[in-house]
Amino acid sequence: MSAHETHDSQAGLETAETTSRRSGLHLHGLKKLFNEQVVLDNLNIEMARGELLTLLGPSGCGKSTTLNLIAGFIQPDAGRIILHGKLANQLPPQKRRLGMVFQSWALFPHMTVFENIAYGLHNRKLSNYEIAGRIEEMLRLVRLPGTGEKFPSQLSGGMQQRVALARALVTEPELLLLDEPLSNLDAALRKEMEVELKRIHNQLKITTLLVTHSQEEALVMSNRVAVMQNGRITQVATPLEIYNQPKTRFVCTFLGDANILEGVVESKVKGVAVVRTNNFSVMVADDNDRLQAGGRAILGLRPENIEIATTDARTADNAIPAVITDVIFKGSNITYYLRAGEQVILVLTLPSMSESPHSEGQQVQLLFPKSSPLILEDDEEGDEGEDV
Amino acid sequence: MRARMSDLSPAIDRAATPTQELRARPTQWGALVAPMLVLVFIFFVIPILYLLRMSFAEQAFAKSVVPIFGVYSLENFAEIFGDIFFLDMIVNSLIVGTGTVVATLLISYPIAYYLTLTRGWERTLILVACLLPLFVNIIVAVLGWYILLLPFGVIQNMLSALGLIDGPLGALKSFWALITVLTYEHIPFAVLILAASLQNISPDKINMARVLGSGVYRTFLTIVLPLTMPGVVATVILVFALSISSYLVPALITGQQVMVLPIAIFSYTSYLLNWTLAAAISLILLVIVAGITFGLTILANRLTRRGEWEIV
Repeated sequence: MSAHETHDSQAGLETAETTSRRSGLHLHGLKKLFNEQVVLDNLNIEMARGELLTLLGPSGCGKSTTLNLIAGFIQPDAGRIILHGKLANQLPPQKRRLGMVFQSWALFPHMTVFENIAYGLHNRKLSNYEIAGRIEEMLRLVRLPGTGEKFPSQLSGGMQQRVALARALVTEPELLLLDEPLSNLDAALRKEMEVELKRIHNQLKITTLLVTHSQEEALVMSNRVAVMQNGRITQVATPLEIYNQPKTRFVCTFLGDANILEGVVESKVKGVAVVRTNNFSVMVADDNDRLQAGGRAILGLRPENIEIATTDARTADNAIPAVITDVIFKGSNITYYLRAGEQVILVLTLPSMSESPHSEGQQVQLLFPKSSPLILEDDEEGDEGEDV
Repeated sequence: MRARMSDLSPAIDRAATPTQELRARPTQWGALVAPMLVLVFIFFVIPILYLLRMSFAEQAFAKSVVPIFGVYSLENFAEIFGDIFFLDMIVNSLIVGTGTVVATLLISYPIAYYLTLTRGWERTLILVACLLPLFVNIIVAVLGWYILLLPFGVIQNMLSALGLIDGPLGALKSFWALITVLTYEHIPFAVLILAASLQNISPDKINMARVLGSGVYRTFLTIVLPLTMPGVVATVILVFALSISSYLVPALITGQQVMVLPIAIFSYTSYLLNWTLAAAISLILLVIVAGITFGLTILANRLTRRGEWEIV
């Protein structure tokens, strides 16, 4: 989704209105300034009902600002927020029918778990009997039965997180906003909660917007991932697509590791380009005609897509001589640091039971097919899109 | 300077080592608090016991300077509780204390709330405005009010000039004047205590309440107020205790027109020289303050179920 795709043409607006009736959330051309610094610039997001979309980006990219705009804590300087098919720019937070989980969880410490979860229900004027039933059900869903009479301070971090989630879900919101909900948990618990959140989302099918800076959370949990940088969305796609076909250098390096090769396109024949970097040449399949002979090229090469060969027995489209400079054994995988000319290259391999890993200082060949290098665009150097 | 630095270094070294050593010897801590305990004992515990004893002494011994060898009875208390004049005075004091507390809270809470929301020069201005009166001697501050409230003083003249009143203003030496000045005196304390308490509530909690559908009032009543209750209780106790026992302000503002307990205590010790009666009145004042402090703490803890939960 390019920043300029749907600019204010009248026709564009009308289709936006009609489609947004079916969508859970539609952000149109959102802009936000803080102290005359552009934090968000022409942000467009459309979420289908029941979808789990992740806003992924480094801290300061504007993802939390986006969430605060959707929740109504701050007002946009331009653009429109369409919630459940209705323009919501002027609605106060309490009228937006949202569920939300903060990074801090923001549990009310002076209320029991039961009262915390019931808080939103009391605003809905439900009978006590109905409230008790719903809370019972919620506590079962988040796997915390029997904790209703406890206070938040008597629960562990993971349990508090579940209470926060139950409180957000119990009102049956049309849109659930999760603001880095797992970042206060330790690594093991975070993994468990990722799966748990995914299970609950699959069960309830609530339209969910997750904000995170963790690529793992994004890949594990989302239907689609929107990568943000400097207040703009760089790419929106499924986790698989965004990992395998990243659009820009930033997306490629932010999601997973990547070796970035820069060079000039030497020749291009029948969808195969040869890119010459300072140190070696690389053969690249370019089926969509994105490279031009004589032009600049940025290639991304995933460490797991490169093979290390010690003999000349096997060959591939690309075979680059290199020296191993470092070997890092991580149990389930081995990371090699190699040097090909001046270029440092990372290679990830699975350890094998029969072979011992390669050793430092070894002369090897790096093999990869011409389909492996990802053709990337350079990052937009936004005129006002500085780090904020 | 260098020599002093080297003197300090062993102490720094000791501080850097684990606190185990310090924890192992509680007697050392005892030595540190001992001067304080001695002071409290000599200047607080002994006088209170002396007061207690004196208040039960018969009035026949009232004029002896050290009336502790007298005959003890409930004579003083019988006189106080049997006399409408004294009962009136107790009620007056309670009204002044309660009124000041209510007025102080109503004015200070919004200021404190605003203080937590602002940054920059506005914040500085409010903080300076709160702290500055604390540096001014209370007599000087009250004198300002005295001039304002004087018959034919600033306020009366202003109201007359506006045609709102005709002749002297009755309210100038009344309860209202007393409560106004006491409120003025205690607002800085209240604002500082309440602001500290409000500052502890994370904006996330307030935002959460709004997302869950609460408007401004419900958010305030269900989240902000309960979470600042400890600060409110501290303010109430402090302001009530200070204003019900204030002598200077009633003496300068209303004089004998509004009889409150401290004025009576002063009269009985200084002019009427009935020390045992003064001691009994003092004891009643003390019991009122202690009772309200204790009762209020219990009540607030019960209402907010404090002790069962901690801030998370």
